[in-house]
Amino acid sequence: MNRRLFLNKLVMALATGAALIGLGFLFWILGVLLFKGVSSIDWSVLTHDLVEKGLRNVIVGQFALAGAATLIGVPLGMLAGIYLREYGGASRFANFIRNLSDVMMSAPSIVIGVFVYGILVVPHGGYFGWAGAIALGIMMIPIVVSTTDSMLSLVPQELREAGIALGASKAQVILTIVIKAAKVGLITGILLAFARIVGETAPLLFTSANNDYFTLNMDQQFPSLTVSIYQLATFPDQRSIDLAWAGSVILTFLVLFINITTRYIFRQRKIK
Amino acid sequence: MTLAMDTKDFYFTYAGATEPTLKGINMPIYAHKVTALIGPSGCGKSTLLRSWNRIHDVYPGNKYEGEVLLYDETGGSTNILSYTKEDELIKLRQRVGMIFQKPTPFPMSIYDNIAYGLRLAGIKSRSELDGRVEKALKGAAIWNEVKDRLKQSAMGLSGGQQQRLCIARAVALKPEVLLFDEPTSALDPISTGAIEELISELASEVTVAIVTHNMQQASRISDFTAFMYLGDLIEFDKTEKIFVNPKEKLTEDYITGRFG
Amino acid sequence: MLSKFEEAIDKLEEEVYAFGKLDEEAFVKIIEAVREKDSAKAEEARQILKGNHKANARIDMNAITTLALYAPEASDLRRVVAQIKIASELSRIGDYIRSHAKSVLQELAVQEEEEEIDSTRDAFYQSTLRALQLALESIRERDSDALDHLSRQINVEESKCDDFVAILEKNMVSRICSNPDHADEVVSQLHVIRKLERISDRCINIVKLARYALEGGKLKL
Repeated sequence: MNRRLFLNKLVMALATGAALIGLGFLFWILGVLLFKGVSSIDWSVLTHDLVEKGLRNVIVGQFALAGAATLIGVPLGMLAGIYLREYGGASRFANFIRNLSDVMMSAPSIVIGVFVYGILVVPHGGYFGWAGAIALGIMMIPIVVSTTDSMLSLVPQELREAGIALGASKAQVILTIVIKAAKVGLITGILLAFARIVGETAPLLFTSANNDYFTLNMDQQFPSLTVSIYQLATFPDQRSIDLAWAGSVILTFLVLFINITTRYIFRQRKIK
Repeated sequence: MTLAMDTKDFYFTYAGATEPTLKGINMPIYAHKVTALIGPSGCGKSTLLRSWNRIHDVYPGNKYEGEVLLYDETGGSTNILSYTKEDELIKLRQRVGMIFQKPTPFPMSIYDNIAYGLRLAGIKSRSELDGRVEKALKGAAIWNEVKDRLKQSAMGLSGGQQQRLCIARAVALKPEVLLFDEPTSALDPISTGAIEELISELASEVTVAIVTHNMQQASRISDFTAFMYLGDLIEFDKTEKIFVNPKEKLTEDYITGRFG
Repeated sequence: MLSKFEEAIDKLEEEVYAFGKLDEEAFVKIIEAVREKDSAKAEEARQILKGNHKANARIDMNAITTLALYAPEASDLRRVVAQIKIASELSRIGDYIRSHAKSVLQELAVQEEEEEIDSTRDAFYQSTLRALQLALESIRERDSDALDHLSRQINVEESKCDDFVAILEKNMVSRICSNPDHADEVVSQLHVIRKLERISDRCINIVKLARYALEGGKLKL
């Protein structure tokens, strides 16, 4: 009897300890970031471009790239997800696609970057923004496919039958009922995919690279916050290193913010 | 008594099954009457009901044999099993509506729920939609409860209200036949009573077929009852006859609770 | 309960009431027959009650169907059961009235024209009729106090009937003593009067059943 109680307490202690260690690292990272980065953030960082040792153009640029990637990746991903759930169902082909998509999700991001380099950057003759957006978009697709597939599977089958029973065609049922019913889940999936790719570096290294100046022209090299951090961190001068820390803090908290608010909204709607 | 539907020598086999689930069903559905389908679980009553608006076709691979005739006001009939084009099936479902066991309000406003089928049928004029929505909600005895919140989401209604909403939604299309698949099994007794009352009233305007596992419900509201067992139609007769003096011993055993 | 059930039970009560009305109608005819010495009226009374048992069977069948279809509980169940038993009482009353009609016909055949109707006998008829009418009212009465009132009135009529029968018996016995040749007729008349007395007893049963339907409790007749 005592042995069992002891075993109980031991396992609980180990599990709690492991959790605390994990949390510990998280807070350590955030702490170091804050400490090193916050002091480097001042108004000039947000109002000047990289060429003047500011981060304005790269922050805007990162979101522009992520936004363009969303416009490319989300429609493709959603349509594929709709196909999988509504038309493919549990068929062999659909399951094959699902497995493929899961594999793609773990594809090394740098490999995707190199792929886009080969098919777009080389023929184009140089780095340009669209290539970066496309690389990020490709990364988004499997995530959106997977969340769309699972969110649509949560919609009860009777809802579809009820639509059919009123004389709707299959496409009408999907567009006017099923998608509406899964709306919150689908949007959450999109936001989470966005949060994922907005912090990527490797796909951008050989596609859109970086730009010191403020621009919204995606036919040329395009400013990126993540690539900037990568580059700034290797410069010898303290100013650059400080800027790299500042960029890291900003990026981290932006991504954290998107994640937290997305999950918060999702939980709120679910409770309703 | 006129026929609204007539099922002749009907066999139904689910996709991938070796044996037919329904074996040679012959059964009339009389117009403006309530016909109940009763029987133990697995007897095929829901399968039969769902064949009458061909909703099985959402899932590919099922096999039909025999005829299911749907009559119109002139007395002419068509075999609904012969429909192959989506167009024909859509028109069928506008004539034969269905209400499910679990209330299925669409994630939109109460107004849009009722107007859904109407808009599908091509009705666009705002005033006509308003009129038919109101009429349908009144016909489902729910108008007074929702008239001040037509623009609010239908998801905020209680279970019994949601089911009446679904009935209103189906009734709005002015179908000839309404199929109810265990409409009250997910509801409390008060809502059940309200919906039974509603079904009895609806019979004056549509023909009703209802699957129920609750025998008392069948005896309370139906004019005709069909008792099914393991895919066969054992007995079909006026409800009075079935519940006072059934012909078949199997029917008698089921009704008296000798087996479930 | 479903409105369909309400309709069914109302219809059943109407049928039972109409059934009882036939008894009343026939009895009125008999009273007139005796007063006016009109055989034709006694015959009419018999005709009115001719389909008595068939009508009772129909009422029973309707009640059984109502029970089968609606499986009523509590007060709904009591109402249906009460109607079945009330119909049965009314049928018995009808039997008594029919056999009295037969006896009246025989009586009028041999009677002399000038004989006046015995005033006690007339009073007895009146009380019995009143009891029957009150019982019929109770079939459709929904108010507890009103039923209570009816119940007391019927009890009054019933005890009056008992008294009248006692007087009539005394008279008949003295007639037998004074006129031994007609003893057989008088004895059979006595027999019939006693049967008729049971009508008011059954009227008490009817109002008891009506109260049972409304208020519940134990069914004791």
